[in-house]
Amino acid sequence: MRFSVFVLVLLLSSGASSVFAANVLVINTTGKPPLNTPELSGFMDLVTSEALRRMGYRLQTVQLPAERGLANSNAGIDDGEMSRISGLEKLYPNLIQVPEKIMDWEFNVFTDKNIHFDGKWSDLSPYAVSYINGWKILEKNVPDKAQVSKVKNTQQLFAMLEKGRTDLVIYERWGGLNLIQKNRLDNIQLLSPPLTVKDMYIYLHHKHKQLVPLLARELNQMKQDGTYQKIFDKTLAPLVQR
Amino acid sequence: MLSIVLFSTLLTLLITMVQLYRDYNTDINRIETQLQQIEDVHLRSLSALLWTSDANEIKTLAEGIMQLSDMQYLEVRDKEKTWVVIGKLQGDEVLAREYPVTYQYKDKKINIGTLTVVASLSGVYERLFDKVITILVSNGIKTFLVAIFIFFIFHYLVTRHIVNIAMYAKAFNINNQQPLMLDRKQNSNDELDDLVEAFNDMQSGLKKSIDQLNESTARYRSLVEYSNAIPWELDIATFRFTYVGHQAEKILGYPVQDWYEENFWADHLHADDVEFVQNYCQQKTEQCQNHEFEYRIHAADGSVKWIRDDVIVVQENGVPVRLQGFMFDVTDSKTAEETLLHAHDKLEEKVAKRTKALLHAKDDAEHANKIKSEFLSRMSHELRTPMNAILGFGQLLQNDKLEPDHKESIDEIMRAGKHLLYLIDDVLDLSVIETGNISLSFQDFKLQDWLNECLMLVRPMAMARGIAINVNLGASADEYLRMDRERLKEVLVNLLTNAIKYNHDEGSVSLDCEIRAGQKLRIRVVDSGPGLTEVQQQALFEPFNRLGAESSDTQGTGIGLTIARRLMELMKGTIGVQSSPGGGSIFWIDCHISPAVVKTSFLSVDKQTGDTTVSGHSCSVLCIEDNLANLRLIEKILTKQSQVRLTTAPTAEMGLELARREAPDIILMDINLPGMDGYEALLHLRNYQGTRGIPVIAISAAATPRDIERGLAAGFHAYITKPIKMAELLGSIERIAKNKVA
Repeated sequence: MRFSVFVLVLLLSSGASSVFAANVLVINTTGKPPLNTPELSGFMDLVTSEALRRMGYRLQTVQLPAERGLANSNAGIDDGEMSRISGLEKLYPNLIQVPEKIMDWEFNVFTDKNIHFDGKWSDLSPYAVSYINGWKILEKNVPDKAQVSKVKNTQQLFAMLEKGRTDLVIYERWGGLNLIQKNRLDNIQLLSPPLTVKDMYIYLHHKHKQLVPLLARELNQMKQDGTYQKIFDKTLAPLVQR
Repeated sequence: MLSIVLFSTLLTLLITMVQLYRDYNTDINRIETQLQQIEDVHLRSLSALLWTSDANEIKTLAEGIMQLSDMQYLEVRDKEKTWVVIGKLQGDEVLAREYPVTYQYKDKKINIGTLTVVASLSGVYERLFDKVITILVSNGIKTFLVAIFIFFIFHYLVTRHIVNIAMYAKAFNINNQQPLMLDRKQNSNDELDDLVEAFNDMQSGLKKSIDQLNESTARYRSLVEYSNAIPWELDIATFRFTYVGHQAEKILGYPVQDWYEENFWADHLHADDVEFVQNYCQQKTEQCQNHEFEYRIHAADGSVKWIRDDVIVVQENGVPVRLQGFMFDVTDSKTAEETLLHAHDKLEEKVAKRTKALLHAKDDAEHANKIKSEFLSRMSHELRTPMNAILGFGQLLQNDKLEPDHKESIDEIMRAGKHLLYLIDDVLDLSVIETGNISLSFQDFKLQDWLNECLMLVRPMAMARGIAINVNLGASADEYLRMDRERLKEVLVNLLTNAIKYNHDEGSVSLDCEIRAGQKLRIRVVDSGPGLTEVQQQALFEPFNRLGAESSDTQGTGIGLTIARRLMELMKGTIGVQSSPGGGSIFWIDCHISPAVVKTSFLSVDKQTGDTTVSGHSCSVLCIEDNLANLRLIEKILTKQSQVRLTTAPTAEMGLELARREAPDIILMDINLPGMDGYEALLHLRNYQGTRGIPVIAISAAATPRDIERGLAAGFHAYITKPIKMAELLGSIERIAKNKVA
């Protein structure tokens, strides 16, 4: 397994080297492992890199806060955004959505307690709930009756559960699972179904509008030819097999 | 100047210390405020950060707290680990606080950690030290300059004047009368002017007092120097004279310096007086009492002098310390006193002898007076008893229907009898008045009624001589008088009688009344007689002086006017006369007008017959009388009254029996009864229940005021003197009967 991933990465790296010399796209991302890593080994890093490689481009990611990334992309400082919900072009008119989604974004509930949960926001009301500050969708939907603690990062978030300072934490599915595994938080479980699921898309600056249909086609092609699944199996699937 | 420097230095140090202390307090308070702000503001944020284990923000918050001034150390920890430690703990001069960090989780407040902050005071001290020099220098300069300024101002305004006043006071001479003046604006009217004014006032007052003192001292020195007394002073501790006046040499002959020798005075005391003088002086001195005493002392010439010593004990803190005094030579007065005592003894002996003789004479006089009174009483009784029968039956006969010649005889008998009675009464009255034994009974009575009574008594006499009596009461007709009615009647009848007697036939007498000031009424009797000379008028009121009428046919005793004047004097009225030879005479009396209305008389007079009767009230009367003539007279009087039922008894015993049996309304009691007399009978009546309340009227020929007073005092309701007057008897019965009905 480890050997095959190594070979794949090696192949992708060597194949791209000839192209990089001329075409590099700087894409902003807020994602964390296992979706994004500095080494571009995250799920979305690999998917995007592969799609751009097929188009003759090399990916370069920049980790920025959400608002700063959008502002830079819209201004043309950077070339685009890696994973955003649809409809942002109304707010940022210089950005163009790549119509093929890159992945589904799930907000899930994690807990170390035995709690009955049906996936509705109202189910959170009796509990102490923690989530990372800045998520508008959470601020909007978490019921007022719930005692909310907002933290700055995932370490703090899951430390709350560990220290018994919260009943539930709300976090993105893959990031949460990755942290549980990485820190061996075996008493913490993910509750299903997710609170919400969003389709996530790549956005490019208007100056790259000719690349948008190409990128959409390559992403679709990757899903068709099994490349997308292979990457999923290598990066995310292990997190659900424990 | 040194004092100013010292003062300003001290003041500077004081101000600096105060300012530093204030700054120190301000800094400490600021740090305390900071610590309080940490607790109020930062602790809540820390609570949320520690709850979410936000290490970065905790560190940021801690660094923010440490930015506060004077923060030395901060530590944030929970049960598991120490999150932040900033700074180091060092030194003892710190303010440290340890705050528990809590978080409200669900329904519980959970202690999730501790915040420890330590503020260093070294910064405070450093700042204070930095300020010290600045404050000291600036305050020192300011204080010094202000002190210099105040000093010069104070010196200019106050001190120099006070120095002048002090110099003036130091050089003060009471005889140098230059008033204190200050070199300053005049009429400032401030405290200094008040002080100068007070000082000058004090100076003038002191001068005046010293002058008075000198004058007084001179006066007393003169008195002491020139007095005949020896002033002296003696110290009690040494018992030696500390001062003896020069008079000692003059009075006792010893040089003054001899008196200062020990025991000089005691050695010269008379041997008989030594013990007394020493004991007395010692006792009074110990008691701190001023004292005086007399003793004898041997003079230089060998004689013995009497000395009176007036001693003052001078004390200090309640302890006698010295004696002061004056020695007076009282030898002459002592000699005179002894002479006087001798004379006094002789005089007392004489007085005792004389007193004994006078007492003997007094006893004789009282005995003679008693005999005289008894004689007069007896004379009155003995003369009045037969007169009672004469005049009584005469009155009854006058009321009967008689032949004209018999009636004329009876009238003559009556006139003679009455005259005789008047003579007796006059002599007795004068006797009584002269001895002061008369008792007056003041009452209110109507003037007109009383005048009618008086006129009725004299009209027959006037008619006999053809003399008309004219009466003019004027506005006083309705007035009432407050006098002794009977005694005043006696006076006016006397005047009217005289006006008729000493008049010529067919003459005239007029009576008029006039109200005068002071509630007085003047009654004037004016006659047309021969009048009186001045000499006669002066002798008019002398007793038994008839002014030559004794040789005429005119009857009289010559004591009527004497009695009248004495009576008026006794009644606080006045009597007087105006006359001239050939011009007639005017006699007048002044009487007291009564403000009250007198009671209406119970008597009624039959206008047709002139009889006096009892009006209306029927009653039973018991008459106890041993004299048959008198008894018949009373029977005659009372049986005419249809309302009166009369019972009689000749002795007291029988009368008492009748009284007990019949319980009459009134008892008429003769006093002089055989056996039991009227007084004893009255006592029996009062002691018996059934007769106790019966009114008893005494009837007696004993007619002196003393007799009447005794009778009324014994309990008789009325006292009627013989000869009995019908009106008086019936009036008394009427009054008692009416009171009984009421």
